[in-house]
Amino acid sequence: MATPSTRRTLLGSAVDLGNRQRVYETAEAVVVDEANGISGRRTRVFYDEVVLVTFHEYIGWAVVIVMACLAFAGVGTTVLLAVGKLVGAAVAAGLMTLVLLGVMVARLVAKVQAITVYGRRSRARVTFWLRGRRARATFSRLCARVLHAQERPAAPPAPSPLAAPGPPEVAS
Amino acid sequence: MPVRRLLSYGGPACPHCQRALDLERVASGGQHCPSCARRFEAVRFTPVTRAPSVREVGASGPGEAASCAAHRRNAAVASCGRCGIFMCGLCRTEADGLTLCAPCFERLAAEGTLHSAQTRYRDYVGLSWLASVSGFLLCTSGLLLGPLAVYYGLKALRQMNEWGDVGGRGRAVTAMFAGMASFAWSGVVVASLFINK
Repeated sequence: MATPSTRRTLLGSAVDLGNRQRVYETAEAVVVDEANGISGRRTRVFYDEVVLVTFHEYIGWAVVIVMACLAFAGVGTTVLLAVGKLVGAAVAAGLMTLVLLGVMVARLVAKVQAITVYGRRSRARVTFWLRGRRARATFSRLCARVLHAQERPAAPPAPSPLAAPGPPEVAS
Repeated sequence: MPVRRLLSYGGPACPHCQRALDLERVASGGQHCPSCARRFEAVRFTPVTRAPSVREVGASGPGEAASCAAHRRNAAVASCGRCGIFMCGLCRTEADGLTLCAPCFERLAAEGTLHSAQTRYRDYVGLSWLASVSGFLLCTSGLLLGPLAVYYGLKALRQMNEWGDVGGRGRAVTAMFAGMASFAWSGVVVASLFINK
């Protein structure tokens, strides 16, 4: 059963090496779930082990190129269907081509924001697209959490030792 | 880029080109990567290594203190919440609100009872989508795979509740609807086969 300390808030996702990762924020760490459709692997970057947090923007040229290729194929399909007097199919193909072109232009104009949290043993990355304000807010919040976790006293006061158990009671 | 760097974590790196960064030269604020010259923002932290505090039995002060079950010279500061043995600062592990000794922690982690120690899990959302898409592609098999997709979707929602996930349930719900759609699609295909006969 989830307790407030184990609750996870979804921050976003990222694609890395062909796997889709989902990144969560908890009270003590950033958790990365990487799944391949059957099983998943979980890694954590604890706030008190974070050495660097970065924020950067990129276009993602792979997506743009794929969209461009699909749009090019869509244009060709639309023309062929129009020449073959299949009006309905040509209109449908043309609309899909327009959507692809729109996504490609949007990707060129609005870059993807990425936050990367580097720990001592692992890292976590979350990306945002068309959510610039949320990306900034998440970046600030994660930095604040890390700072709060690392500003705790380095040496917590030693807990008092437990008293030794007394002699067993003898029944009178 | 070397394959090893792709597969293992090599420390802080430029978020653009993934080349290693010298942390001594990184300060908080706007940065330019020395390798690719692209810009990024960075906030640098200096984590403190915390060592557990350990007291010896003799140095615990007046009154006899209990000793750790594993380290006889160390004073016990807690008892395990599962087996009850006394343990010192070195043996004590806190997870999911429990104070545990090392063997109990390993046992509960192996059983999958400790959510904070879990590193492997079944991807029920992925399985639900797999069943849904297979049900669509294999036409009549959707009669079997559709309900299976719904079952895995319900398992995924239960799993998310156990983990305390806030958000992200849309994937499981969408996969369940896709499963129901593949069931309906297969039903239409089977019905049309019977009608045509």
